[in-house]
Amino acid sequence: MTTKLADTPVAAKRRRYVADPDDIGSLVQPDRVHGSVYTDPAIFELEMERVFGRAWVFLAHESQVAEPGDFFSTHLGRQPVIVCRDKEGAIRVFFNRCTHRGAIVCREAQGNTNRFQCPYHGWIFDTTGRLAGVPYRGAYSDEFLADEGLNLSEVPRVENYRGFIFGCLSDTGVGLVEHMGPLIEGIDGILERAPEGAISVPVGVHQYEFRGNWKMQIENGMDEYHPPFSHASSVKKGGHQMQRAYGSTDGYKVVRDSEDQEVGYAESYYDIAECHGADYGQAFLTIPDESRKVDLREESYKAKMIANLGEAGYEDMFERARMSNAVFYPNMILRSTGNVHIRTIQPVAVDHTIIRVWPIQIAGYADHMNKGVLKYSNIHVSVASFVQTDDIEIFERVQEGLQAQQPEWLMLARGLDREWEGQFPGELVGKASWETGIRKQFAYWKDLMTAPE
Amino acid sequence: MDAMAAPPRRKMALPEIWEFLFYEAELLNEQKFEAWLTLFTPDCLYWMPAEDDQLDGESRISLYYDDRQIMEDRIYRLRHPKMYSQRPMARGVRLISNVVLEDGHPEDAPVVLSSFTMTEFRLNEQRTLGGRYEHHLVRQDSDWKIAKKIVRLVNCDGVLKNVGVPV
Repeated sequence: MTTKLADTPVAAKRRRYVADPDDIGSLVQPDRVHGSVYTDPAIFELEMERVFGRAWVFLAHESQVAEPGDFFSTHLGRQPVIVCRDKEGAIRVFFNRCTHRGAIVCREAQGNTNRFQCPYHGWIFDTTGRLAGVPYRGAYSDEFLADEGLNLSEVPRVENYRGFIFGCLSDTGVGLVEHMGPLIEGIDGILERAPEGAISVPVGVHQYEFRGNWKMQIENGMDEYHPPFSHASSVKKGGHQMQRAYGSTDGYKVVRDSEDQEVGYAESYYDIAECHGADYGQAFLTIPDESRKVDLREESYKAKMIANLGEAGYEDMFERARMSNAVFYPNMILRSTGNVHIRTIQPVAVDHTIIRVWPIQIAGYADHMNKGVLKYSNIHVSVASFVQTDDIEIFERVQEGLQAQQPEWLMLARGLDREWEGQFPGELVGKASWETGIRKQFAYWKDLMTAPE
Repeated sequence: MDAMAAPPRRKMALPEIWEFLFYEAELLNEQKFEAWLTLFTPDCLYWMPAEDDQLDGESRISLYYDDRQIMEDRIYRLRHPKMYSQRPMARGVRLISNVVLEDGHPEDAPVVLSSFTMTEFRLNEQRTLGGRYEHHLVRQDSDWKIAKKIVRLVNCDGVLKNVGVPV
C-alpha cells in the first residue's frame, strides 16, 4: 500500500491555503498573503485601477504650491498629474496630458506660470485648466471647441487637510478625514508642535528607485521587527544607532546591546512601543522612548512653546507627542517626530518603485534644529545613507526570493489575535514588532481589489 | 545668459598634485578606506551635493555631507559583515582628467578642479558615474592633505540607486 502525497497532512494543509486564481480575495488570508501579490504583473495592473484608482492618494504639501500660479508635477499611481494653485488661489489637480494629442503639457518638476503650453501643436491651458488658446483655430468650428470639453481633465476629488493634499480618482467613497482615521493625529501633532503652526518642505528631495514592489516600502514604514537585523551595521556599542539627530549625542537606542544577543530574546527592544492598524489600511508607530523627543526639550523651542501654551500646556503637549511614523496607505509615510519628513511611494511596475523623501522644516524651530533635520536626512534616507540603503537592498532581495514558487505564502502572523482595541472604530493595537499594521493594510487591499466596479 | 562669457582658461596642476589625486583614487579603487581617511585633515568635509550647482550643504540636502566622524562611521559600516547593501561590495575604477587649478588660491592651499568617471560593478550589473571633483588641499608635513572634497555627479538630482562606496 502506498501513501499518496495528496493524503499527507502537509498537502492537506497546503490545499487549505491554495489561492483560487479567479478569486483575488483568496490571496489574502488572516495570517498570510500569497507571493503573487508582489510579483504578478496582472495583479499590479489591477492595483493601479482598484487601489490607486479608489483610495485617497497623497499628492503634495501645500507649501509646494504656496502662491497663485505655483505648480508641482507628480504622479497619482502611474498617471502624471499637475498640482496647481490657480490665479484665484484654489488648488487644482490636472492630468498632465494635452487634450489634443496627449503630450504632457508640463515638464518642470515645479515652478510658477500663468499657463501651460503643449510643445506639440501649441495648445494653451490657463491655471484653471481651461483651454485658452488653439493655434490656427479656423480649422475647427467654434461649436466644436466649445462643446468638446477640451479643458485639462481634473482629478475628480481633491482634499486638503491642513496642508496635506490628497486626490481620489473615484468620485464616490468616504471623505479624506474618515479615510485617514487615527492618522490625522500625525498631521495635527506636527502642526501643534510647530511654534508658528506651519511646516514646509523647502530643502530638497532625496530620490531613489529599487527593483521591487511598491508595497514593500509602505509595509516597511511600520515594521519594527526588522531594524536590529537589516540595520545591524549601523548600530554601535550600547545598541545605539550611529545616526545623530539634533540633541542626540549617541544616536537612538535600537537594541539592548548588540544584534547577536537580540535573537535570544522573546521580545524586541522596540516592543516598548506600539504598532496601530486601522480601517482603510492606515497604520502608525508610536515612539519607543523620550530620546526620540529631545528636540522638544531644546531650550529656545521650549521657551517659545511655554510662551504659547503655558508651562502645563507645554508639558501636556510633550506627553501626548507619541506618533513616529504615520503610514498613509497606499503611498505616504509622515515621520512626525524627530527626523521629520514626508516620504512618497510611486509605483512604476510590479517590480519597480520610486521613493522620494522631503525633509520637513518647522516654522519657529531654531535654525540649528531645522538644519539638524535636513542633515540627519542625509545619513538616514539618502542614496548614501546608513539606513535606507540597506532597506532598499532587502526589498530587492525579497523581490528576488519571491521568484521561488515555494512556499507560496508570506507569513504575517506576528501578534495575530493578541492585539487590543484602540480608540477609533476598527483600530487594533499591538506591540511595535507585531505585523498588526500590515494585516490592516492587506485587509483594505482585499476590500479594494474585490469590490465590484 | 551671455553665451560668449566663457570660463577662465585655467593652469594645469603640477604633476605632484596629479600624483596625489591618482593616489587617492587608487586607495578607493583598492577599497583601502582606512588609509584613504588618513589623507584627510581632522576638520575635513566630504561633500556630494544632491542638486546641480548647489552652493552649500547646510541649507539644502546632500547625498553625502560627511565630517570626519561620519566618514569614520561610514567606514565602520563598510567593514561590517552585515552592511547588506554592500555585500558583495561594489568594485569600482576611477578615471581622472582635466586637472586644473582654480585661480586665486595660495600655492600651499590649492583648489584643484578635475573631471572623473567611475565604472562600478555589483551583482552582475555595471554602471558609470561621472562628474567633477573639487579638492581643497593643504600642505602639511611636506605632503598634501584634503581639507574638502566635493563630488558633483552629473546625475546628482536624478532618481538614483544606492551610492554606497565613496566616489
